[in-house]
Amino acid sequence: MSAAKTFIETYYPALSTSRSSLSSFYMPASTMPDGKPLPVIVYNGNIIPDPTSMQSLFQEQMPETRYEVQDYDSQVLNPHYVAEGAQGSAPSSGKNMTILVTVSGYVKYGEARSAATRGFSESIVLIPNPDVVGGRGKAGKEWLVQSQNFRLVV
Amino acid sequence: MLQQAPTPPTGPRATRTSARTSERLTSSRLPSRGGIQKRNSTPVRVDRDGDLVMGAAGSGSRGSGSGRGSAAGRGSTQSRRHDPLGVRSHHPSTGIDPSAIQKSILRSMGSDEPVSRGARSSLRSVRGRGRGQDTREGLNRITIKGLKQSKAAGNPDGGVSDLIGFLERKATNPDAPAREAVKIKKSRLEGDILIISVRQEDTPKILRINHYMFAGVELSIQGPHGKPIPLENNADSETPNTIAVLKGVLSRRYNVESKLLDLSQLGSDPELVNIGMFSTTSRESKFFPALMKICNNIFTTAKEKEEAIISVSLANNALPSISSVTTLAQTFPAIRNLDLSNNQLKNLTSLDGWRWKFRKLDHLILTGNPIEAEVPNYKDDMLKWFPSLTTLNTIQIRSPEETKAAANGRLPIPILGPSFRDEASISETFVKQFFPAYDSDRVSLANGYYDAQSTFSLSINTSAPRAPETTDQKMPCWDTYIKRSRNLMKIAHLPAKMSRLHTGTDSIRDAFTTLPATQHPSLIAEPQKWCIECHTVPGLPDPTGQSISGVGGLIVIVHGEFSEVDVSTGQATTIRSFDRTFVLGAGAGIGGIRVVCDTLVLRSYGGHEAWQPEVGDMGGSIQAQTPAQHTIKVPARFAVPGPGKSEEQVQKEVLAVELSKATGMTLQYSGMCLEQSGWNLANAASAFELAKPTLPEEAFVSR
Repeated sequence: MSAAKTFIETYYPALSTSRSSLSSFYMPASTMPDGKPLPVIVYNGNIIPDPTSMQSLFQEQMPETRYEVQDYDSQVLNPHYVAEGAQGSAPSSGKNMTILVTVSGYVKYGEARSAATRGFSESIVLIPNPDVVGGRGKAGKEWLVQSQNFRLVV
Repeated sequence: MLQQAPTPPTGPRATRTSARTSERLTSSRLPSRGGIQKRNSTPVRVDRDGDLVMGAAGSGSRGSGSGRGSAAGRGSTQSRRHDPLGVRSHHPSTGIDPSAIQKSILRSMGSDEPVSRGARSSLRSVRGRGRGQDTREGLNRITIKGLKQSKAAGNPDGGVSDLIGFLERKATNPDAPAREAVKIKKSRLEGDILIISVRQEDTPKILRINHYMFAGVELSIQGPHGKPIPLENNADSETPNTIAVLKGVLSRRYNVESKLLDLSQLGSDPELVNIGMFSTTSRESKFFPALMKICNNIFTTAKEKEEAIISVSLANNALPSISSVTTLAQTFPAIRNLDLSNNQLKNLTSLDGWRWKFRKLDHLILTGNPIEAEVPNYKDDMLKWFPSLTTLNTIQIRSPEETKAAANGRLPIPILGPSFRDEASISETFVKQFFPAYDSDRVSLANGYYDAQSTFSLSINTSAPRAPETTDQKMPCWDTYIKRSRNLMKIAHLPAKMSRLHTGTDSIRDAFTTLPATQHPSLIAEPQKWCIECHTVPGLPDPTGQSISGVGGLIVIVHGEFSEVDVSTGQATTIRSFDRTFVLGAGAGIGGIRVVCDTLVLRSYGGHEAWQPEVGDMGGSIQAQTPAQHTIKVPARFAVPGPGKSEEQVQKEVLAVELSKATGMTLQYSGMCLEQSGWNLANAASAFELAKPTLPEEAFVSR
């Protein structure tokens, strides 16, 4: 629950003001068992190949954006998640789970006053950051994006 | 407002030059209230104050007689009662009948001679009957100095009403009967001088107050000025029904065929000059808003207005800024064409009041304004300010497709169709079964797809943006949902968070069956109303417990709309939009799958325009490079249904042909490209553009 809250409170501001940190919100590039790339990022139907591309899209091309999250909800997706490659039993830190977060809000693109208010809907799957959960490093976010689908809906 | 305008000067005004008039038209140093100070609940006095319009209106309106907002409404009441032209007033409108609109406008705007003698004399006779005994009396004008220096000057109306009350109290003999009380018939503020009009017999009583102390200042009272104003005369020749004149002006200046309201060269309009419309600054500043209010009264709905008036010209008005005419944007927000040529608009500030207004403005004319020379790049700003603008000064500056992008906020990457990367048609099958069943049989649905570990929650975004084309201003009601809403932005209480998360078939079924009945649009017949995306996700719980690291599944994201259905009548009621995210995993449900998670977001109707692919842009880029579609050889029986061929296969072949035609790639390469793009044509076309330089010769059909 707090994972979703923390994500909402850090990710959306970062999209506007801290775009150089965007890639740090995502899990490191890897592949699913069937060979498909992770994390999955879909933006208005565009498949963004990796977090670096997402970051540079925002850093280099995206106009000024202001996001307002008006509604979010979250559910535990897998309560007994074991990170790929992790050995033995899951850590007992309470973070051995994956979380589905759904967000509804609006975004304004471009210049301050003149921008239209566009409704968006976003669905995100968060997984624990093994580096932080395992206690091996203090740096980094506790939860990372494994999959993300953004859509303008209004 | 206009109805309260001060007594016009005697004799016709000399015609002013257009420039001079417009200059004055724009300045408004006077208080925002009407010049005539009217007081509360004094219908009789109102009736007798010599002001025709106010007379009838005041008796019909309650409370303050000088509210800006109610002036037009009163005007229409007046007109309905006394005006032979017959302004149509507010009455409920049922449906839209264009011919009726047309007629009503013509009727409302009157004939070519709207202010006929007949009109006026009939007005006079009506008024005469109502006025009683003192129709033969005249009014004297008296000036009072000192208000500006008084302590009352800081009051909301500059102390005018306080001063008038003071004067009336002091001038009235306390022993006299009420009907002899001194009443100030009219008043207006000119600079720091208050000019009042009183009956002749009251004049000495007012003059007696000269040198009285009012709010800490000594008043200086002088008068009477000029000859007493004979009331009959006044009504007949010098206070013509301003509304009728303005209506006449509108009528003359409205072109039915072109739906143009031509408000150019207002300053030299003889009729307006004749009635002294521009004789004082206060009248000038009220003129345009009053004109707009009359326009507003003519139409009962915004739609009528939009259909009747498409173009407005304000050319040749020497406007230094649009500040005196900003109300145009409120009255006619949906006009397509606006002519501002030959004014004195010199920079962006002078246009600022209309920034981001006129959302449908297609053509703007600003020629003959200093802005052309002083702000050479003003075109760029106009493009930003007016999202639908395609044409500036008769020159096309962007395509309609580009304006759509501008209105939406331009994104560096195009809006594409759904990214639907299904596995073995699981998501497709699920969605096709789920939504019809959600409308018809939620119990079976809950039992069939959800198990003991499934979770469902609903959240409401009550303030979500609504579809731009929504004309219904009513806020939708969320009462039936709000107690179930798990909007974590709004609820922080842990028990509420937990109780609004439904886990297991029973709980989910209960939740489903207590939600209002719905009707979703057909997935087949109205696919544009849906945006359905999906892709695979790893790490879902394995119901068999065999895989520690979890199993793969699909995340399905559906954006769409539904109508609530009144079960008793079967009628669709409120229409709402929704976003629903499912995570599907292997399980014991229908088709061997289970719903792991189901989150439903409800919001106000937002339409389905937002996810329509930007075909204009993309099609344009492809066509620009390949002006004609490539001629490709399609093998017999390719892309057509045949024995042993699945529908999916046919669909893929059709897509391959499409892509091949668009790109010139062979069918084989088109197929590969589509495969990599999840069989999404738009994605494949984008991928092709990126990969084009690196593709081998053999990838293309030989030319």
